[in-house]
Amino acid sequence: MLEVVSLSKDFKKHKAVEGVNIFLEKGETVGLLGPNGAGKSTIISMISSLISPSEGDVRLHNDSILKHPQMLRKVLGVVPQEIALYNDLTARENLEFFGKIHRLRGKALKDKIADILDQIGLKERQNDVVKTFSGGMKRRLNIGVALLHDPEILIMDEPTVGIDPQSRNYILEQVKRLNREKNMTILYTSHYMEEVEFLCDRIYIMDKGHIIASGTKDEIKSILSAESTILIKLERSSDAFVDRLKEIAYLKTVTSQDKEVTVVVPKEVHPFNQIFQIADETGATIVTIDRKTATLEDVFLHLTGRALRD
Amino acid sequence: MIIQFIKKQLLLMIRNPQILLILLGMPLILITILGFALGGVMNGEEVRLKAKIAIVEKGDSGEELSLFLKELEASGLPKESKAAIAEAAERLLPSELLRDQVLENQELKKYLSVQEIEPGSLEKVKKDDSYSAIIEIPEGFTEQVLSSIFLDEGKRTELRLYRNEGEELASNLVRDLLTGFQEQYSLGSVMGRSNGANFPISAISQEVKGGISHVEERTPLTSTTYYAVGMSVMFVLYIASNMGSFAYREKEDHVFDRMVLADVSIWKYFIAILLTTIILALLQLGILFGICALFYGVTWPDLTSFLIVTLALCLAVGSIGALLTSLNYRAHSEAFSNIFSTVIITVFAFIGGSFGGMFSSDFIQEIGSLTPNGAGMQAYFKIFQGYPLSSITTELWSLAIFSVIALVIAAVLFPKKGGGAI
Ligand SMILES: Nc1ncnc2c1ncn2[C@@H]1O[C@H](COP(=O)(O)OP(=O)(O)OP(=O)(O)O)[C@@H](O)[C@H]1O
Ligand SMILES: [Mg+2]
Repeated sequence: MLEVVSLSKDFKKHKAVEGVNIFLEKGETVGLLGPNGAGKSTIISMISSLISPSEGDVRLHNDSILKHPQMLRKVLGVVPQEIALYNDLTARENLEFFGKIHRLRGKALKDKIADILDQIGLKERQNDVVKTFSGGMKRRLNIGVALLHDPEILIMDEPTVGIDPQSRNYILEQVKRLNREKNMTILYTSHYMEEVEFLCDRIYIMDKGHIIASGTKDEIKSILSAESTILIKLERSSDAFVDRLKEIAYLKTVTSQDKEVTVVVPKEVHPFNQIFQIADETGATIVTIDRKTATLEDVFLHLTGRALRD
Repeated sequence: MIIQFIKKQLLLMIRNPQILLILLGMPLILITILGFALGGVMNGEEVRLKAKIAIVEKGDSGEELSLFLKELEASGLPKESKAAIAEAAERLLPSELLRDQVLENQELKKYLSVQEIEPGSLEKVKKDDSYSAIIEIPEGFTEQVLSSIFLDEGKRTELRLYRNEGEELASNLVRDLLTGFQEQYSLGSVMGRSNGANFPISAISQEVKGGISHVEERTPLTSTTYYAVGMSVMFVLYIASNMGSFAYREKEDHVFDRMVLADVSIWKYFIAILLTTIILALLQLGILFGICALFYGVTWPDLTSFLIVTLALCLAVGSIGALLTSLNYRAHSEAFSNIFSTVIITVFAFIGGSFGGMFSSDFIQEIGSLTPNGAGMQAYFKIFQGYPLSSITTELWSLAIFSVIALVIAAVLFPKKGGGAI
């Protein structure tokens, strides 16, 4: 239903987003993953027509919304990356103000606010000023405000940044429920692979303004499925052990850091016996050895050569 | 939606004690201190309205008196009346009376400084802006007034009054004085005759509008009143800088984005800022003047005129609020609000006269009366003293023009594309 077509944005000389294609089908939860500065927020600003793209198009049901953003705004809820609330108003006053801005009135507004306060778990604190809230509570209210006008599509820009694990789980559960119970279509942005793995049906991975991979979780992981990683922990670091491993042709890469050694091998190879043998011969003592299947984190590392977060 | 904006803004201000202190606390404290503590220093509790007046007599009253006496002799009046009239005429020389009894009056000397000038320098004095008014006694005036009163020979000669438009308050005072003098003169001198006064005053620089009332009826401007008005018109300007800052922070904190997302148009937002500023300014002035009325007895003779001045002033404040919002948005910082609240308001307050007339320079006073607070203050003073609405048209225009210019600039500068990284 929502489609982003070869979208680009230049800030002066710097290309923040380049040739990005994304689509969302009704009822899907789609993840947009990328490190700091990848261009996620810029894409979201263009979708919600807060900024205009340098090139490309945003379409709702195949109609371009660049000229007429009203169409999309009616059905779109946006949870901004920053806490966009009045700090000196109470939770309730914030909801009331933005509700009225969204043209809700009277009983409809009252019911909606009660419903949202329930959903975001702030009923008890509704009459407290936002600046007395914890980070997690602010994040929850930040989401609540975006839900006031019952959007069909919800775009969430890193809604869990900088909060405690408990609030984070709460939010993740809420997002899942919104999708399941209200059939809301959700675009979820994050640096956290595990959030996206938990929530999303399909995933886009982006880096430096480009989409570098996309597909279902399994499809993306299959990029790495031809290989697997073996983690070895030694009692003491041993250069001799590492050097011997490097001599073995079918071990694709061998890296070591202090007592930990990482080995990447083709999926069908099972080198445990040989590794133990080399350990014996070089006098190294293996504390643990583990074979790992790929995570999205690994995919990102594989695709960009960098970790998602510093 | 506008109501929501106002409600939100009120809540935000009420929860911000620092702002409340600036908007309400400071002016009230200053009114109290300046109005009472300095009241004694200012002497007589009255703020001086000093009018510099020139008087020029073109004829020679002595000669004209003898001329009149000859006419009197030639008339067919009985001998006894001739003697009585001659005696009365000597005592009732209009130019002398005007000088001695009116302009040199002890009570009035506080307000007036009268300067006798030579007929030859009249043109020069007319160009000198420091005079509030010039009274011209034309040639033959004495003779003609006397004969019209005592001999019924009705050739009318006018006493001329040149009024300095920039000094309306003072020149009005002189006009009122002359009118009063005219009435009293004729009453005191008729002596049974019926044809009253006969020297109409022609106000040359400006036609005389509205009713003429006497100087004694004007409420004196006490120092409490002075500062109640002076501080209110100054501190109402802080509403504008505050609104500019608040609006900018709405953008910084991305709540402005939320409004754009809710399809609130840029212009609606702009108008909301303007109206909210106006309403808050009205509220602030309402509270300040309300308290001054209740506790300091500063009450207004004509509430309608008072409200009109207040509205005009608040419109100007609203426009400044909108202008500062636009400038802050353009500058991507609160800089303009800060400059306005720290530097410009102070300068405006001083040259506008909020702290008393500190500058003798006419030029600065002129500039001062163009500031919204200066114009507002002048208008309030006149209204307070019971002058009619027509006497403050200059100030109202000044406020209106200021508002329109500020609003147009604000509208032109306001970013037309909402939100995000403009
Ligand atoms: N208004 C702007 N002017 C200039 N450059 C900008 C602007 N907004 C964003 N950028 C640049 O565009 C790039 C993408 O930024 P964006 O905020 O979209 O990244 P992001 O993926 O959301 O990162 P994060 O995870 O840190 O939120 C960055 O290099 C950023 O510096
Ligand atoms: Mg971002």
